[in-house]
Amino acid sequence: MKQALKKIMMVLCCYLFLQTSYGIDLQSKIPKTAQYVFTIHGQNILNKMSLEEMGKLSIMNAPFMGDSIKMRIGEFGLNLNATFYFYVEMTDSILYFTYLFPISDVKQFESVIARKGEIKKDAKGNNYVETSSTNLTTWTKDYGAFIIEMVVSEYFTKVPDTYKRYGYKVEEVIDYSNNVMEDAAVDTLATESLEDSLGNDAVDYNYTNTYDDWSIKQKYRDTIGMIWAKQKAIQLFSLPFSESISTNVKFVESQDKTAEGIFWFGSSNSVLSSLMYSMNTPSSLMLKSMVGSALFSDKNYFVASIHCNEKDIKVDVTSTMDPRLTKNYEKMVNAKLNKNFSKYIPSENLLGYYSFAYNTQAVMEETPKLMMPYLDMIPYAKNISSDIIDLYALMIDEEAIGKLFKGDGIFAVTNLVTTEVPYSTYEYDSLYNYTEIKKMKNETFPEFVFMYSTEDVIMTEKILGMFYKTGLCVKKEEGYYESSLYSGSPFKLYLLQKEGIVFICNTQQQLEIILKGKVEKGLSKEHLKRLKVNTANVFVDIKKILERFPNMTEENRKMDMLTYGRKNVEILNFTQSKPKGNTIKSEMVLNIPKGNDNSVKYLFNMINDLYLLSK
Amino acid sequence: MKLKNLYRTLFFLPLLFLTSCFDIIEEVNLHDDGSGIFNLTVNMSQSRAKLFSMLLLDSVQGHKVPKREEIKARLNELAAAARKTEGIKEVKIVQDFDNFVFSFHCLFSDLNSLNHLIEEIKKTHNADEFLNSETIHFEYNKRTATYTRNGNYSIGDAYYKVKNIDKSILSNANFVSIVRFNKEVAIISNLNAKVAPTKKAVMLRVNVAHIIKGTENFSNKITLSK
Repeated sequence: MKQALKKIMMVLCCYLFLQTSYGIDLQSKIPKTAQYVFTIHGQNILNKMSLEEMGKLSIMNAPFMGDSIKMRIGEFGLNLNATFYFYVEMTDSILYFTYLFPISDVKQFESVIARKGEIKKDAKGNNYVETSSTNLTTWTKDYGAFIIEMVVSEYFTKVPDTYKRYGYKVEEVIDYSNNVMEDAAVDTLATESLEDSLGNDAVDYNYTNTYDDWSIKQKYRDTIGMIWAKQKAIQLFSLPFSESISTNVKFVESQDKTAEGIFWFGSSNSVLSSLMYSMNTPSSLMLKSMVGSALFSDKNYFVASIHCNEKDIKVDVTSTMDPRLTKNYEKMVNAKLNKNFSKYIPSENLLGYYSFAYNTQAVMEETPKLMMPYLDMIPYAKNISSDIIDLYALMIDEEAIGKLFKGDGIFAVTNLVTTEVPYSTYEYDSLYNYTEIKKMKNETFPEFVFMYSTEDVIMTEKILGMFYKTGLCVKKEEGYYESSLYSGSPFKLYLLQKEGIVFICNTQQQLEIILKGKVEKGLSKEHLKRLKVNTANVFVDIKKILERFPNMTEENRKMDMLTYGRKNVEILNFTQSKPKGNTIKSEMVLNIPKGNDNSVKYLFNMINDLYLLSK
Repeated sequence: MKLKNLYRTLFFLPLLFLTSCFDIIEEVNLHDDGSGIFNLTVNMSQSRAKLFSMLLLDSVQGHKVPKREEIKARLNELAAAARKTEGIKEVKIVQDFDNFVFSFHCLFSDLNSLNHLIEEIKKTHNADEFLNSETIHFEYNKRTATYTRNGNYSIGDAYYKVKNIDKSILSNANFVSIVRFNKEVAIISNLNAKVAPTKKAVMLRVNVAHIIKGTENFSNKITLSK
């Protein structure tokens, strides 16, 4: 009760705050049934890059930009300092993509929109323009919406009730009786209005010729879609607060005012059931089985907030899982990266790495439990799901596998190496007879090392010995194995096991580091800390990779792109932290080069520069 | 990380950095009676490092990578088809997988035999799109002592559907056509071709991407002195 009161108070406070500070709060116009919402804080962007600066970019006058974009953006009559939303609603029969925008000068806005079509009034007196057969723009004096509708064709051809109602012959009768989730109110209205809208074309609902009438069917679908879109527009203007997404505490909490953009996805069963109609493949069987599954309850969500800072672009990702599964997942990630890995990674030329720390034994033991809800939903597996799990446990020795591959590992690209490789070409005499000659050319390839921990040294040696006995590799005196995989191949792989670590690398230099057991210059404290605390890490030094990337002299455009990249990209970091409760947090940071005022300008300028380079 | 994914990562990574280019050399030694020797060599040794990486993968950029055995089988099929073709004999195939150089050699009694062989290959591999609709590829008129090579193998607008990465490989490939005669060359129709100092051979080098795109071809009409 206390918790419920807290939630109500919070929603109320948010609502009052938004109403007083922004006048019209567009957030409250988003229905709570929206599955994807993308928020853009216009003011945060414009504080970092003015409209005048944007207008000077060449891309704004590019031929592919519509005439309206070529105008000064500020002349649309929109309140660009406010918050914009884009959201997606999905039902079993239609998808709505809606852009919500605040208007500052309605006359200016109407003068622009009038060029797109005739301004009409809907049943409630709101203005709208049908900008095409599948989209419309509607507005009041303070805000507007651009709605794109996409009718799910399968809804009209595969669902028995619907195909009968709209006169379609079913191609394949499938029993959807347990899954149909119609929006009865909207659907009825559409049926009633259809004849009015189609006029003389809408004569025979019992039309059964399935081949020749494609264009008529298409017209039916487009017309129905537009009728529904108009209803959606009316609903939008009169949406009660209790039906808006502003009542979703998790959504409201996710709307970080300091972020430039926020992507929110609220997983729900309705999303999955909507998707079912567009798929009829074996994978959709699994999808159908997930409807109602514990993994995808209405309480789960995924949020990605984009922060364009002075020195970097940061994306904070938060996702949740069903609390009942938290303990299973915690066991799976209850592992640490072998700290000895860092002894073998030279930092001098390090280009990137991917590390992971899982507990293989727990993964093997817990995965079947996580899969139980899925299995229970599959028709031919639901009665035997526990037997399948038992059989799996019988066949798999989780402990033995967990000892062989502990579950932590790192793949690091430690350098780009240039080496000379031979090739044959020809010399021609005076009669154009040719003789083969050998020449050398430089090839650049990445030097890498992959390491993983093992507790079962004996079995690891047996596996490596099997490769040796089957001729896949040769054993060297120093105790490592060398594999060419194909005769004549210039590439070699070196494999060895040492101190509970299995190594796979591809150069002698890297092999020597492993045999010596120490690098001259190891990883920085920052890297070591990141590797220690996170479940997964990705580090990519994009700048260094492009600097080392071989020059492409043949194609000027590619070379220009490469040169541009070398000057304008930096380091990318991704980390996935350990779960806290049922929440998993990840973070992606892209550093921007010095000399940029902030990362908004950096992004816009980069898009503009790439456009100019591609011309 | 699944072992298969690791395996793919380890061998796909070099592909991003290694260069790829190849040469195709077509040689025709034409005797006065219209018979002669035909050689076709595909030299991919400049892409050797990349090809070794590719052979370890199932597919690259959406294209299935054939295994060595499949390549050998295809080449043997080609040899078998050539042996069955009337007027073609002494068929030889050379497969050098260490350097990625492959060649086809045969003797022909008449250039029409080569035309029949190419048509047969088109039929069995549904390659009409790539080997245009012409059925006469080589022609020799003994009376006028004129040799004609119809070398227009454009795929037309379909070229624009080819992936950029594939276009880039094709743009680094060359097709070299060499034809040798016993008599001296009097006139050539393709001004990009070079006549040997002895005047008894003609060489023409064309970029493969240009051939497929249709901006260039290696058609040539060569009239010999009588």
